[in-house]
Amino acid sequence: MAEEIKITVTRYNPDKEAELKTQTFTIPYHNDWSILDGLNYIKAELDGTLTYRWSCRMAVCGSCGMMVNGTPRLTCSTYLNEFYPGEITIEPLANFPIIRDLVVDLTDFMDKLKEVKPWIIRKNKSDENDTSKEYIQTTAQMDKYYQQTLCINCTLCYAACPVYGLHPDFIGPAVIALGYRYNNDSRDQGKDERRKFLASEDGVWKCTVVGDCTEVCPKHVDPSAVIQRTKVDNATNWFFSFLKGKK
Amino acid sequence: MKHTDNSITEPTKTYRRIMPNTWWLKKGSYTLFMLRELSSVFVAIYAIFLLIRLCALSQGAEIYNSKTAIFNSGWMIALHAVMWVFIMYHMITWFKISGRIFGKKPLSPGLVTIANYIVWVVVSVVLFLIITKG
Ligand code: FES
Repeated sequence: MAEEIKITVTRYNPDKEAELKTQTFTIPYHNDWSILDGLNYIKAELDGTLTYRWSCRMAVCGSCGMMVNGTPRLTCSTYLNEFYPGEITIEPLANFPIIRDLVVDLTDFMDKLKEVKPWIIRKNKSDENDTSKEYIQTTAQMDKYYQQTLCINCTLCYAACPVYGLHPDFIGPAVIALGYRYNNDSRDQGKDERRKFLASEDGVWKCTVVGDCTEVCPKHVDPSAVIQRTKVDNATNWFFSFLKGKK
Repeated sequence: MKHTDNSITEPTKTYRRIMPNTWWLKKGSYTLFMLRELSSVFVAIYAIFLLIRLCALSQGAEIYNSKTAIFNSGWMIALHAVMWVFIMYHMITWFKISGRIFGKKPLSPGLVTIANYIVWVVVSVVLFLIITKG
């Protein structure tokens, strides 16, 4: 008999149900199938109504994040063989409202993403439209923020963060990491503008250093360290402006 | 078939999950985090004890001995042993975190953490020498 594996998924249809349900499917086991391949098999062969997000299948687009046996993972780069012969439970990403089955509502994240102003800000606004200027950057300067450019906005870090789960107003790991990325770009001059948002009540100081955001990040952006560095930067800035009598 | 205008999106009815109060028991890393938070209480208690001793010390040897006699009782020694374990855990976790914060190139996280331990050992030895020789 061909090998099989059981996958239990969360089901939720807002038009029909008030509560979440689970449904278990038995699918063929292939050593080289990702969990996403398994979900695609269910959708194609067993139940076409199963709803989930995916696109690139190569850990680039960041849309296939789900809770795999309780841990936020990209399902396109998590393989059945990691769990076989055990069973797999797939739930929608924790801490986000569920729209349907395994699809979560990312509106809150998208709004925060805009607020951190993830673009190069120049003090002289005319610089931003002046394409004749060249802003040369050395490799060492780029090294300061390169790691944080790798973020794919998969929001696994939000699903891993109990602070975000308890206080949904918290700006959250990926958005702070993106703010750090631009703040540390030698071409950028928008640190003070972003500080209002990053050092606000719902900003970096809400983080209590659980550290799971860094553990689950598939791109090794290390949001946890970046949040603490942003705290150090804000505290230093406050201290010096206090000394100068600005505060 | 009813025709719908795709440009208008209906407000979606979403399902919100509530985090149970026992969320921190669900994962080892969350439990360790809570223990680190709890360790701060022991750090604070120790600081208060230290202040009590310093106040008593400023009032002379006799008053110091009478006011701090309680610290020699069995349950106090047991409490200090528990506090020591939590304070060590507090220190180890924060040394590790400081490595991650300040361990940027050209430094490495390991190097920063080790530097913390070296400073800790040096300060402890100096204090020990001052107390025993002084
Ligand atoms: S499908 Fe794009 S990251 Fe998984």
